[in-house]
Amino acid sequence: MRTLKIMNSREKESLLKELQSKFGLDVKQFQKLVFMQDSSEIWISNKDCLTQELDLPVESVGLLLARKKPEMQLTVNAVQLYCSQTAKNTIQLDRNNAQEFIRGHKLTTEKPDGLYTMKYGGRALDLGWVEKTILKRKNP
Amino acid sequence: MNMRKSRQRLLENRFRLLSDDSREFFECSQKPSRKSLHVNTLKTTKSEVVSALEDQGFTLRQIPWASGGYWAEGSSLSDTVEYFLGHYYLQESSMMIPPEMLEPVGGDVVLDVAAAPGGKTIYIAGLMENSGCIVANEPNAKRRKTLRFNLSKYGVLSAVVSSTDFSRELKSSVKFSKILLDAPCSCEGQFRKNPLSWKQWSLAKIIRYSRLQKKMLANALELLQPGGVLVYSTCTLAPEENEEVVDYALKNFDDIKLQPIGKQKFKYRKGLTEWNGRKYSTKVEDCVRVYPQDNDTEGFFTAKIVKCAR
Repeated sequence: MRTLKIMNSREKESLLKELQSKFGLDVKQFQKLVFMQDSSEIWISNKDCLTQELDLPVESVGLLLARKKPEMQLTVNAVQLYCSQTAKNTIQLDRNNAQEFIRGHKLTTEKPDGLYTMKYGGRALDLGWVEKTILKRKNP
Repeated sequence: MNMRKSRQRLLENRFRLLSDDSREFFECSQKPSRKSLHVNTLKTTKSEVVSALEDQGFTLRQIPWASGGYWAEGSSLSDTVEYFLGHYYLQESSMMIPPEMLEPVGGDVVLDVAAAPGGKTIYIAGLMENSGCIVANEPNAKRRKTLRFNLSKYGVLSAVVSSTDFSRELKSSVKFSKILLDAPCSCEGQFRKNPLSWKQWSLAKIIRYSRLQKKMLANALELLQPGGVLVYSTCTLAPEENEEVVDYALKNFDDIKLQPIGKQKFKYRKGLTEWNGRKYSTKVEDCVRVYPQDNDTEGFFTAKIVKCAR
């Protein structure tokens, strides 16, 4: 059974700075949320979930935001929820390419190597990784 | 129907007794069910989904009893980018009724007793706008994995996933303002969606489920706070799993009552007060039966139970 620790304000601020720097996130989105972590994962939930005294076996609370290993990486669900307003390192896809991308197929791009937020319309789909003009999904 | 003749005859006889229009029931049950979806307002808006799907050639029609529910015609609803984004959830239209009947509001502490795969929990979270707390419960580990996946995919931040087995004795003192028990059942109402369930039908199964449902409902009622609401629902039409279970609860809990649901945007029938030689409390007339032919949906049963305030 895992034990998550609620992050204090200093830990939360440090994490949000890292996410803002790496992914260009608007940290105001997270103001009302509680952050929890263990050695490998970061979870978020609303405050109401943590004020309940539940004497039932709990397996998880809220949503998995990011994995810490081997490096800090947002989950696909976190990207979709929080990266739509990101302007940093993004690649815009049309519908056909978006469908290819989400199916796990590789695409080609002229963008430099690195991590990108893949967008379709005004929405963030997931993270993509470009290496030598080949773009593929970062999250499996 | 492809099943043993004796079982087929038994099933047909039961449905002839359940309603005067059993012929319409069997005719409707042979037709595939209509595809339907529910917009996930935690991640998008109804207009965005309707516009995006209509652009791709789908035809959508609003479901009268479900805010954000649409019947959809077109190929492969699960193959769109919008589905990948978690903008809508594929859900049978009659399954949208229990969360609406529960009427959850922000600040509620809700228990979804048999939550997997998560459609109704997601619906409730949408109605509550990700506020309050929903305990999404599922005792089966494999189904719980699917539940967690779906809750994350659809952006639910207000859910606590629990693994309590409500068929066993409970040792809990927590109280909930709203409880949804969409109980495991024999699925007689799902013959359209799952033609295999005709073959799997048996009276023994109905009796087994009835025993399980009584235990689950009794346990759930212990956790309902005074003034709280519990919606009991199944996708079967068997009175043994429906009115008999509600009748059992009425006889064993003297602080609960059934709440009639009044006029609705779907056709429904009253609960049965007797079946197969057994008489139930007349109060079960306030239960709700929906047959496939009533609204061109799957079959369904539901009851709204209120615990009296102290």
